[in-house]
This record gives sequence, C-alpha cells and structure tokens, in this order.
Amino acid sequence: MLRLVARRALSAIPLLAFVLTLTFALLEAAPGDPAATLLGDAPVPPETRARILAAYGLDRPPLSRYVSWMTSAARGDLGWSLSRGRPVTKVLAAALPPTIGLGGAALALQLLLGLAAGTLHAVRPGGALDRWLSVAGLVLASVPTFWLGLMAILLLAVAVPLFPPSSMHSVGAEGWGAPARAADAAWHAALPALVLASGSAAVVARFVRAGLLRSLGEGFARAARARGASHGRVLLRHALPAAAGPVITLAGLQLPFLVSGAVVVEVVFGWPGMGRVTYDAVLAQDLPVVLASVLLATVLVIAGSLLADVGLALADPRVRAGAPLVR
Amino acid sequence: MSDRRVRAGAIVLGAWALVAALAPVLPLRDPNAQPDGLVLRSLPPMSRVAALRSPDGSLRYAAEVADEPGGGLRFRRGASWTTVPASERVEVLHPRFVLGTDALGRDLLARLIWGARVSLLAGALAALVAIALGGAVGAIAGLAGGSLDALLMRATDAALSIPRLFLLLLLAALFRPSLATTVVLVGGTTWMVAARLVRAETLSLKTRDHLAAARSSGASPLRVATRHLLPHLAAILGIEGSLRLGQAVLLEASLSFLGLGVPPPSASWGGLIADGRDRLLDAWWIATWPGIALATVVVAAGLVAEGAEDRL
Repeated sequence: MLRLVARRALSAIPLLAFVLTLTFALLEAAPGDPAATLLGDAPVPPETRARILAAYGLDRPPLSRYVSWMTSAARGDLGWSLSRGRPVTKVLAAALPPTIGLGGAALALQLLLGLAAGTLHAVRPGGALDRWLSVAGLVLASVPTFWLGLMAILLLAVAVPLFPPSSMHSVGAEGWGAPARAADAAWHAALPALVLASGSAAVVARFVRAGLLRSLGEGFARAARARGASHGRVLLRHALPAAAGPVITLAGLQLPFLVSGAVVVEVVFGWPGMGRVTYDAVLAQDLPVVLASVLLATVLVIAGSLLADVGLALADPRVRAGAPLVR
Repeated sequence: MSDRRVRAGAIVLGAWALVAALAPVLPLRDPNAQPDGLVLRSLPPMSRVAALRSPDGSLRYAAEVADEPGGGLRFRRGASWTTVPASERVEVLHPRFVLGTDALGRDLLARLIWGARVSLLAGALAALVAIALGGAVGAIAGLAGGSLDALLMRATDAALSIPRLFLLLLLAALFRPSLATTVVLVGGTTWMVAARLVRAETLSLKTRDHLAAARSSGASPLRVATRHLLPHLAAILGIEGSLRLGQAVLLEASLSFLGLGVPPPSASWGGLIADGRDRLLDAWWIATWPGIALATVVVAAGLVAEGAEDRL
C-alpha cells in the first residue's frame, strides 16, 4: 500500500513539471508586452521602466526566467498577487478549504446518488423506471452546470426558499459556536454541491447499472438466487458490492470534470473557493494567481485520483495484494 | 433502437443547424435592436404589447392604448399618457413576444436563434479542431511507435489531468476573447480522448495486411496515414466528433457565461444565460431558454454518438 502511494506520488512530479513548463510557455507565447500591462498607459521615463522590469525579472533572457520559475515553484514560492497585495500561496491557502469542502461533498453526493439510481435502474431492467431514469440521467448530464445552478437557485432558494441562494455563511455567523457554524456551512453547501454532483451522478448511475446487470448474470448471483435469496437481496448484498469497486476508479477519472465544474458553480453561488478566486484573478489580470491555481487544481486532481486508487486497494483484495490495476 | 436514437439526434441537430443558417431570412426582429427600453423591458413569454404604426412605417410601442372621446387615441408609456390626434392616422398593432424580452427590451426569440449561430459554429469548429488535433497526435503516435509514441501519450495523459476550465481561464486571461480564440482554446483542450482512441485503433490497424502492403510498395508515411488509415478511422472519429460537438458547445457556453468567450454583441447562448443571471429573480425566462436550447443540442449530439457506437 505504501509503495503504491509512493510510486504514484513520484509519478506526479514529472506531471507537475510539465504543467509548470506549459504555463510558462503559454505566458511567453501570449501577445502583449508585460511592461505595458504592469505600467498601464501612464507615461513613464525609460529608466523607471527598466527598473520596474528588472524588479520583476523581466529583463532577463527566457531560459534564465524559466529556471527561476521552476526553482521557486519547487520551493513553494508561487509569486505575489498583484490584485490582492498578498503572496499567492496565502490567497490560495484561504480558498482551498472551501473548494475541498464543496468538492468533497459533491463527490460523496455523486457516489451516493449514482449508486442509488444505478440500483433502482437494475431492479427491473428495461422497465418503466429504468427508462425514465435513463432519460433523466441523459438530461442531467447534458444541461450546463451553471444553468442548472441558476435554475436550482430559482426553484429551491427563491420560489421555495429551502436553501440560501449564495455565499458560504449566514450573516452574523462569525459569533456562533463551532457546531452551529459547521451546520450553517453545510446548509449553504447543499445546493451548490448537489448541482455540481448531478451531472457526474448520472454518469455513475449508468456505470453502476451496467455493472449490476453484468454481476447479476454471473455465477455467484445466480447461485444466491438458486439458494432462495430474493431479487432485492441478491441485488443489494451480492451484485452491488461487486459492481461498486470500479465506481471508485470512475470517480477518480471524473475528478478533473468535478474540479472544472467547481469554477462555474462557485461563481454562480458566490462560493469563496479556488474557482471564484481564479475567476476574479482573470478579470483583474492577476496572472500569478491564475497560474498557481492551474497548478493547484492539477495537484487536487492528482491527490484525488491517488485517494481513489487507495480506496480501490482497500476495497479490492486483488489490488491490495499488488496485482496490476485494471483500467 | 440504435437507429432511432441516431435519427432523433440527427433531426434535432439538423433542425438547429437549419434554423441557425436561415436566421437572416427568417421573419425575426433584430436581435440587437433595443426599440423601446421602457415598454419592452423584461416582458414575460407570450406577452403582447400595443404598437402604433405611423403612415411612414415607424413604430411606437405602448403599454396601453385607449380611444380619445373626440376621435384619435391616447397611449401610455410608463406613467405618462400621450394623445395622438385622429389626423395622424396611426394603425394599432399588437405584436407578440413569444419568448419574452430581456432587460434591455431585446426580443429573446431572435436572440436565441441568432445565438444558435454563434454557439453551434463555435462548437462545431472546436469539435473539428479537437478531432483533427487528436487524430493527428494519435495517428502519429500509433504509426511511429517507440519513444515518440511514449512521449506523445505521456503528454496526452498530462493534458487530461489538468482541469480543463482552469486551463481555459488561464488562456482566456492571456489571449483576447474572440470567436477564433474560443474555437482554438476549446478545441486545443479537448483533443485528448480522440488521440487515445485513434492511437489504439491505429495500433490494431497497423498489423493488418493492407497497411503492410501499402508500406512495402513504397507509400510515404503521409500517404499511408491519409489513404489507408483515415478511411478506417472515419467511424470512430465521427462518433467522437459528435460527442465533442456537445461538449464543445457546453464549454463555449461556460466561457461565454463567464464573459471570457465570444464577446458581445454577437451573443452566444452562454452569453444570453449570463444576461439572464442578473435578472434571475424578476425575469426567469431570460436565462431559461438558452439553457434548454443548449441541453437539446447536447442531448441530441449524445444520442447520435451513442446510437452510432452501439451499431458499430
């Protein structure tokens, strides 16, 4: 198990180096003069301009800047946020917990709803419920996430005010006790997490359905059936555990989409996470923050898929024993 | 079963394409005109308003029209009434706004259909870019093999694990938004699945006799790829292209919703939803229609891909 984690962590290093190189190359390729962006339209004497460029290291050759870009990133120094006047690491450190909380809640909901819907699918394959769930899943997986968020606000926060329409805390929550604050945050997270989870949940449900139908046809399920177990029992106790394992891998593969979806969901719901911070930084042309959050989002995906592999290893004795992962 | 899905999806996509292509000749209002910000502001779907047409053809919109006792009319805009003498000989019309209007009084039906042009064009071009780029990477990797194959596939895996929208945000921050950059950005961040599919297919095709025959009779690698490989890849490229079309339309909408896609006034569906977001509480219809339109396109593209894949 430890070797699995160590191997995966090591293989992440070239990937992160690739992301850093790619972002550096994009910066270099982008049109526009960085000095003009920094200085604006104000008339500046040439020597001041040279001093400012030197202060940001923009007067050095690209290769030298590339090396210092890579080494400072390796040291954990991601630069200075121009729009917020703070180190980028501080900005992102504040935005990370809300995103992990939202993403984690969405991941849990996605698995829960996907497993439940997939099981309902398999109760009577080809029946009316199966067909209607297929249609609902297809629609949910096809509507734009941000639009679903707006409709959810309209229906569940305005027409029927069950949930708050935006932000992460109620007004005045600073003075509350920790349990009340946590419950408040969970209440605020419910709607965005549901919206974020819905599309992926539909994918999981289809996957679970296919796995269940496969398992139901296999020897162990038919043997249980032959011993007199009811269809429901065979489905829940025999077929579902066999079909659930690969779902963990699927959830890991779906992570990049979850993290991407978090951007628009956070913008729609005013959730103070990485997506919102990145979006604000794009509008403010605060490139160091945008660059760093691309990197951090990739780290999140790598960490998440590592967790998925560990979860799979814990759930599946064959993987635990060191057999190759079936992809 | 599969036939029906492909047909239904193709009909929906074809209908949208037709409507979008014909937008200039359809009897629609000007999508960007704001003829009356007061009377026409945020009208609900199926609304009728009054309009006075003067003999010279000009229109004046009114919330209410009433007869004057001594002949002629008076009409109300906002809180103020204006009297029109009988001598002016205006004609009273009652135009209908089927999908309603937005906060600036623009006709939403016209904006939806003109928006389809932008959204579908951007989506289709981005899907083409993704298919072409992914197909080229996959075919080169599969045909070349060895270290070039390993390098290209590592790059593909790496590109797959960067969350797409974050990368798109970075690119949008670096490059000025336009239709062309949106197409290139969306296509350039979605080619990876096609690359994997094409590489796998190429590897299996490579062992077939007709490729070996072509190679041994002296065909150049380019000729082998285009004349002997591409025809066999057409089916999977078509299926993946259909899926990409749906996803590209969605991604473009996300970017435009964030204000980083195709810039106004040529509003795409994502931009229309962004317009409606600010008016969500008092005018739900502005954001609703383009979302439904987007969903029909994505569902249709998915149905085509799914049905065709099952038939394969």
